[in-house]
Amino acid sequence: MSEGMPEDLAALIKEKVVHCFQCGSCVGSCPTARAIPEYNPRRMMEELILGRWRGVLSGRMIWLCTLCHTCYEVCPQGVGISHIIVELRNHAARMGLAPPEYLNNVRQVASTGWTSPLTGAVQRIRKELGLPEVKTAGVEEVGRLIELTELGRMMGEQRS
Amino acid sequence: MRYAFFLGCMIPLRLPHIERATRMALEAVGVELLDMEGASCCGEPISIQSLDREAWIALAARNLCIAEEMKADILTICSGCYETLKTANVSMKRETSLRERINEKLSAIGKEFRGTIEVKNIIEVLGEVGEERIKAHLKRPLKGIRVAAHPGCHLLRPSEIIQFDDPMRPVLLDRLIRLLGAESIQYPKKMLCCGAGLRLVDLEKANKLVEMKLSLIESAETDCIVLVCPYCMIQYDLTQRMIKREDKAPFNIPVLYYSELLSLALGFSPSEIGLRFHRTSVEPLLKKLP
Ligand code: SF4
Ligand code: SF4
Repeated sequence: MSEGMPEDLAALIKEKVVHCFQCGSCVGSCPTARAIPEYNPRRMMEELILGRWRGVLSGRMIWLCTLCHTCYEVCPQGVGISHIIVELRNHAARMGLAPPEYLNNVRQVASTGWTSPLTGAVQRIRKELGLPEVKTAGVEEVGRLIELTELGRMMGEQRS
Repeated sequence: MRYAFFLGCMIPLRLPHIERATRMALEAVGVELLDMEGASCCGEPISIQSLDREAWIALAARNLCIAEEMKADILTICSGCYETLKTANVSMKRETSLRERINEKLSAIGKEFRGTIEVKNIIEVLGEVGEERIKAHLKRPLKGIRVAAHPGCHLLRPSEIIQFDDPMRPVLLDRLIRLLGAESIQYPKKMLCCGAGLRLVDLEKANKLVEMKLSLIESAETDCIVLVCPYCMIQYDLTQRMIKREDKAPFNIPVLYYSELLSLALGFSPSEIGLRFHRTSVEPLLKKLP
């Protein structure tokens, strides 16, 4: 069942996830579960314990978490769900399964150093408010760092 | 008291009026703000952390290095930036192997993380300024104003890293609101997330979450919502205008960033801090000000 599972994911499941005793406190405190009834972090942990990690990684559910870390605080077993979800997303992304909206955000940061464009309208408002001009964001350095990480490879693959 | 002022992206590029109020209010109570030359996006806690945690830490580390060179602690005004920079700072101080991997990447751009500074949020810094000193500057105490505080998520959690206020029963934002003479009211589901983290993949459901919160706040008869994060601000202030209710009139609840509320109490006028740039009108609140 755990055949082919990346080593660090296997270790994380063994150290953290297996201690989940399915109490559901994470679900009760989860904002996404309130807005989207199919979203269920308890079930996600159950699937992982049962070895169905491929389904979890390829599904849409892991991308619906707001990373509010409430489940992290309320879990009586110290599972640290929100951290597990970040790890699952990282693995899914390496397998090319990241939603395009996420990659678009990175593209914006890689090309401008920021998540939002500096528009003429904002520049005018800043001037009107007597605010200093926005400084450069060190965009060459930001781009270089991204190139040096796994993220850079993901972006490259998406382009080609 | 001097800080490397980390602006992030959302406030300077989308909500510059918050930057204006923050600069005016903090300088008025004696905090010197040093601009960070070359600072970029913090590292981005939702998409970049989710795609590659190590890239997230590396981008944050670059910003930390700029403050280290300035020999100043960082002051953040966005809870996303706070979580990002604080996580990177604390994790690299704790884990030697992570720090070495990141420093190897940083060496390509001529930087090195040394672990010589701290990362703070605006509530924390105002706490350091001290209640007495803030009080001494107040010109217009906000008597009779009922405020619904929304502390938000990343200011407080994960507690293992953040270690700021109580992660589920915070008190510090409420205390700062009361300091200005206003009342910090109780309302159900106060600690529930605003839903901003869901906007990227499911805008409709993100809106549903904030609508739920706005309804509860509305029935608690509040004069305004007060928060400390630009993502929460977009959710409450901008999304509020887009929600159409079949059976009721549109929501009309003013939303202020804490430094805007503080600026009003310090005697700054609504026009000099640019309150006109809010999407949901703040007029109902201004009419009630003493
Ligand atoms: S709160 Fe913890 S133990 Fe309970 S179901 Fe969720 S992950 Fe499992
Ligand atoms: S971190 Fe994600 S799974 Fe946990 S409570 Fe928040 S939205 Fe739900």
